[in-house]
Amino acid sequence: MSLISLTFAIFFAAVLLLYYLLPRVTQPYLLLAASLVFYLWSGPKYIAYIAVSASVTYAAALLAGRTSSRFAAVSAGLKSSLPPEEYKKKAAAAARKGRLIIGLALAVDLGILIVIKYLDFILGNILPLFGGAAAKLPGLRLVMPLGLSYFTFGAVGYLVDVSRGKYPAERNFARFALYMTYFPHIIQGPIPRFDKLAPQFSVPHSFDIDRILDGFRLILWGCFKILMLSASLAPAVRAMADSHASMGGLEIWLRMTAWGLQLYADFSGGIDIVTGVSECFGIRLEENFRRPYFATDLTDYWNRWHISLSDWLKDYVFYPMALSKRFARFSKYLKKKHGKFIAKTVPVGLLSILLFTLVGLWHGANWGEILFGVFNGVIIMTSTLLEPLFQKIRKPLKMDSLLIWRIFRSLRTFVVITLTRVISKAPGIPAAMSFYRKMFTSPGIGGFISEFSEGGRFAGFNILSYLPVFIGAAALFAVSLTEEINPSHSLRKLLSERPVMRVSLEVLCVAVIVVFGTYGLGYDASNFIYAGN
Amino acid sequence: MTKEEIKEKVIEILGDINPDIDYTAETSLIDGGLLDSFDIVSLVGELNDAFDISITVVDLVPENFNSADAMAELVERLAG
Repeated sequence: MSLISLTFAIFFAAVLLLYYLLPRVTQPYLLLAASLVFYLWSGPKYIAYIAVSASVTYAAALLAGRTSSRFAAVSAGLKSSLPPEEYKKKAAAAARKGRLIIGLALAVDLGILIVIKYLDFILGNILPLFGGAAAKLPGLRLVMPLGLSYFTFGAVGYLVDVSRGKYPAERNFARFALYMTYFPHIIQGPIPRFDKLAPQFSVPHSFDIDRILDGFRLILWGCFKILMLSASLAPAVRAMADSHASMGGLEIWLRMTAWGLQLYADFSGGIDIVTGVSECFGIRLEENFRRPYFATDLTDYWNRWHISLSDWLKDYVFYPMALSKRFARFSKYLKKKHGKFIAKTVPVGLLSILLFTLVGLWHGANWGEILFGVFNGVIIMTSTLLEPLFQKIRKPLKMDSLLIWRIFRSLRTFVVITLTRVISKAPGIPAAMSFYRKMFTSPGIGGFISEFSEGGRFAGFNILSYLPVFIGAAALFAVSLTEEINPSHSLRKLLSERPVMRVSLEVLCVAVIVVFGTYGLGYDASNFIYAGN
Repeated sequence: MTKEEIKEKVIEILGDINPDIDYTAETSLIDGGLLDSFDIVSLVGELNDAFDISITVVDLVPENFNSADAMAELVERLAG
């Protein structure tokens, strides 16, 4: 079901109406039923994957929790009746059993993800090594069920949290199933966290018109970003795949910038819509974007872009590895050999490369995405290593307090992220290499301009056809700048104190979308750039 | 070690990581983004070594690292 479509509008209106008309005790069940309908709409046969993942995860967490709680219940008695050594052994055995159950469930969850999303890529790279018939074997070509990566990461996070004792396992299967399938976040995130989301399902939500209106405002803003920017920029970005051989450096820079804008408008616009939808039910989703193109460096960028993914990787991959004993031993070894600074930066830097490789893999099973991740990791590691040197230069010049330096840093970050995206966006690695070469050595300004004359690729080009992009980008920039300058006072709060201005802006927003928006393309959920993960 | 002594040592370690912050007054080191994940990892390593404790992933919540006071409390709890 497409998010920007009449079908979704009717579906959402019906669910919202029933949500507040039916007794409040039915609210979570209604949301579960709606989520299942939404999921079935995307492809009935794919529900098996999420059903298996939800059932296995639910049962394993409960079983592992029972193993440890049963042990805890008898352990008081055991502790007094058994010798300390014997008691320790029994405690360790109970913990082992719990870990084994969790481990098996993790294997099932991640197994589904790996087989569907990555197996063809893995086999495609391994089989040719054997040559002959093996190299010619076709892939499985399994179709990705809706929200595969999102519900898998949600399930893995839940299992790890339960095994860490962060919260007890959920007993109510309906509530757990709703956490896994909740339709606003299943399309393109944010990646859910059980302790943040599930408690909100248990609370009855009364009709709060202000909150619902806030939700609708967010939906409107999301539609604005997608219809004005993402949809209008799509043809310019798509052309990169078709006519890349004839493009000069300047054209590649322009198209890659368009891609950066389109990706942000599409992804953050989609998130705005689902966050607004969820807000109407009184359920807050996690923030997923914080004005990423205002970031001062790449680390800052990843703290602002797809925040739920960065946070998830930090909590379940980075910190567990960085705080492990093996890691501490490695750091100590480096400290002895090479001093404090190397011991502090090199191990975490290497870990960052691993982490960003995973970020690349998240985006897709191909070498372009993997290299995109590796590039980001390497740049972050290098800049961390060089930071003391940079500081020595910046401090005497008092650069950090200069506005021009602040602006330069954001522009530099945008250029760096654009350059890393070339490898994942170009149609193949050789094309990416040719893109890089042209971007730095042959700007092709003259050639680019001549394409606009008769007979050229852009003959008859009308700058006015990009008017929606200029309007959309100006509005997005103005809103983002206001929020960036005053992050503690969100625009929502500022406008709530000026109701006339707010209504005028809302009317203007609708009018602009109606007049300039690129719509009617049939925005299917699967059309979202970030969907299908 | 008294809590004050622990806090002093914690502030000394923090000063090594980033000397530009006033650790006696700051109460949102994590929520305010003053310490990043690289800082946290080296901080945990230093605290583990200095107080002979073992800070685990479960302890890595902002409440435990937002201020020098909170860190001193965490150290006291783990050492106790």
